[in-house]
Amino acid sequence: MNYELLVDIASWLFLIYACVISSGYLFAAVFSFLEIKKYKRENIPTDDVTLLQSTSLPPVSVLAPAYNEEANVVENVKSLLTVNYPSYEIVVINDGSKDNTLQRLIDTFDLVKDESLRYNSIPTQEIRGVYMSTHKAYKNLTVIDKANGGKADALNAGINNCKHDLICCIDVDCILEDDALLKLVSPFLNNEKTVIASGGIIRVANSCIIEDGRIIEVRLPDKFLARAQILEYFRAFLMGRMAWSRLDGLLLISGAFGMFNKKIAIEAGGYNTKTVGEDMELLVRMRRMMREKKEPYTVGFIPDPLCWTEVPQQWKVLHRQRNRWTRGTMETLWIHRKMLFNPRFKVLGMLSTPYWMFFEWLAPIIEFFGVLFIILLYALGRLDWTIFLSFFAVVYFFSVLYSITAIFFEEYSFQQYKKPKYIFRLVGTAFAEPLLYHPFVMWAAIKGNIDLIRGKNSWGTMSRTGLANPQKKQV
Amino acid sequence: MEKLYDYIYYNSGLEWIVNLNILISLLFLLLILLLILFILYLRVYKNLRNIKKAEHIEKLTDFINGYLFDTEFEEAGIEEFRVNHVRSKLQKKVTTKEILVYSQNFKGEANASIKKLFFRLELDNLAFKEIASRKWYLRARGMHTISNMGIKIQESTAVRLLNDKKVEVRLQSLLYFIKLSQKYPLNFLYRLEEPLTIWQQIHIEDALKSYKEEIPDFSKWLNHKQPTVIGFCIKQISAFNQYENVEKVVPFLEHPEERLKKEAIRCMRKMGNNDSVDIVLTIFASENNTIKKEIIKLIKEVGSYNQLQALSYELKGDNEEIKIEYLKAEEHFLK
Repeated sequence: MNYELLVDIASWLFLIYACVISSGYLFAAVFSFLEIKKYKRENIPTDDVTLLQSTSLPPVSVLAPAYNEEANVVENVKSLLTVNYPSYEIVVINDGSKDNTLQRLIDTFDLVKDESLRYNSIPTQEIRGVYMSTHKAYKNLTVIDKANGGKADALNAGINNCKHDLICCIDVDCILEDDALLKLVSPFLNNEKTVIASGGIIRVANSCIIEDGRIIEVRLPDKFLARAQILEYFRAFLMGRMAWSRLDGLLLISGAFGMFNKKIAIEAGGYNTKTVGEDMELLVRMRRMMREKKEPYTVGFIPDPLCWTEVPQQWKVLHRQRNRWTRGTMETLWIHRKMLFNPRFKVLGMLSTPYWMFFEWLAPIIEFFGVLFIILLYALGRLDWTIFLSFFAVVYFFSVLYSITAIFFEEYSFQQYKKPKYIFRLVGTAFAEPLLYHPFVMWAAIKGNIDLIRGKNSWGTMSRTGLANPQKKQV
Repeated sequence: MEKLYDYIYYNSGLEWIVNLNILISLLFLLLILLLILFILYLRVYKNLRNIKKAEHIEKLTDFINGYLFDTEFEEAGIEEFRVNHVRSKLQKKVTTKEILVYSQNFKGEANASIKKLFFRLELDNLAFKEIASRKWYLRARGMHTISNMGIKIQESTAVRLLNDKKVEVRLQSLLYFIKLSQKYPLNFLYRLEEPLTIWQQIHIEDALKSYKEEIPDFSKWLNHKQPTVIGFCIKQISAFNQYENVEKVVPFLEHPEERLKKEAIRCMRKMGNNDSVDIVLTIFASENNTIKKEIIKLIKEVGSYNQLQALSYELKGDNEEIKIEYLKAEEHFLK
């Protein structure tokens, strides 16, 4: 086999991979569209909201880990305490903060140590104390102070110390829609199968007008980086998870806002503290356990925007986040490699895990090698510019088309960005994103792979501007 | 492979790939432009629809206010409004929705007038059409309208919808039975063949809270073929303090199905039934952790310290979780 033949075989392999991945995206788009159409059709008027007054709804424990959140923790907890749901407790887990997070909570909410006996179903770092409020208004607030062990460990401490059978894990600075908890609870109650977890659509809160912990007006951020992530969230939730939900093959409930069946989460062993992708890993483990036990189960997905979160507005922070996401994906796939292409796990084994391997983990790697390959051909004087540019045009227009389809799905379903100028800006972002944003995300993923091989397993600092504010505020 | 390669590369040349790529790119670009146009069209269409909706709601509000509160309102105005403003699908849908809201917000005479208006505008025809539809979401919507407007439908139709394959239709149908029943709001349970989801149970509980007549005797369904119905009835026996039915719940303390056993223990706890403690003490050792925890909670609330101590012999092995529950109960007695 000569050198030229090798080069051409490589070219064909890249082409075949591109065709496979494009077909996958196409199928995801079709499935998602069907799911959105179904959702819109089936959105019948009911009396569900009146249930928010009902005392019969199951109580929920909302777990919110906090690390060095001194600046915003009080406002964030106050916002959580106004959640519209008849029966819930808020469990804030101070994960060994080095600042005054705990003291601020103690002072503001009149907390005192509670010496009740507790059972640790899941091993965690040392619990220094559990605090309850002496104030009646905050009677459903519990604060756990523990030695630092990471987000997963903090959530495990929350699971051990919370009272209720349904747990809702949330980022402390997230903004919830008014009926978010009710909607997230509904799959657990309205299903003949055991529901192990449920999640909903997460939205980007940057630049939105927020008042008293509520979104007052949805705005499109001025920063390109945040806008590009809005498109990414459209693609991930409206085109990805919608499709997986239709196939009952969801592998990820966002760590920012998800609900779990506590008993099953404990039985599965709780969050894995050895991975940085603890949210995905827990759900995969729970699903795997249920499948191995041959118990019928499902994962609920609410196709409504339920939670608003702040996305990174700095390239450096985004790099860290994507690096971590890649490591989390790789770790999860490695831990559960037994499921890959295993027909015993049905959709999970034959579709979901292979999808995550080929489309989420391998895609940036292959893309990166594709770029290197082009550079090599150029260096060797073997690059046919006409062919290269023609392929580049196909890939570029496909990726723009995919993003525009995501904008169309948003417009067709929720239409959250009301101002007409927002559509044009999003379309503009869709054209710029493959050239300016995507290469950066790909590089962050490559770095994530390298870091994992080198044994790095830290979260990295996630600095945020902060969302919750008692005053009207634009983030 | 090499032959294929030779064929493609040398015999055909590569122009075809370039041409194909240009064609695909143009196709994608065309699709992009079409989608953008469609997004803009959708935006305009939705905006116009919302404007139409808002205008219709405004007219409707004026009309209903006049109908309800204007002493000089003429009956002929209703027919005129129906002919001119309740024609299109959208108008009928919006009018139905608005009338449902009015009906929920008004009581007494105003409520009766609103219901009368619903019929005069012939919106009941739409609801009847919907419940006969093959599309489940229309059946659910139709039942929702019918039950909220208090329209009686054929018994056989209601029972068929009560056992519909879609849980959402079943929910609306059982709410229909509760809302329209004068004396026996839960008699539909006799005809229920599908399981009751917890969501449905919560809706029933909620509807029963506003039920003005005598609350039914829940023990009537303790031998129902659906365990979910039995579980629901045990729960309601304690919720409505039906002490006379406690004896009928006692056998469920030893029921093989875990959820019924758990519900029965909780019922005993809420009813403060001390006699049940002796029964659960005998089954404690063979139960799983969920039931054991419920038993300890029962003893803590209605039992005695001696009864709790009887369990100490059963706490062998390393079941820490149960030991802690036990210690919590002990702490309660020794306080």
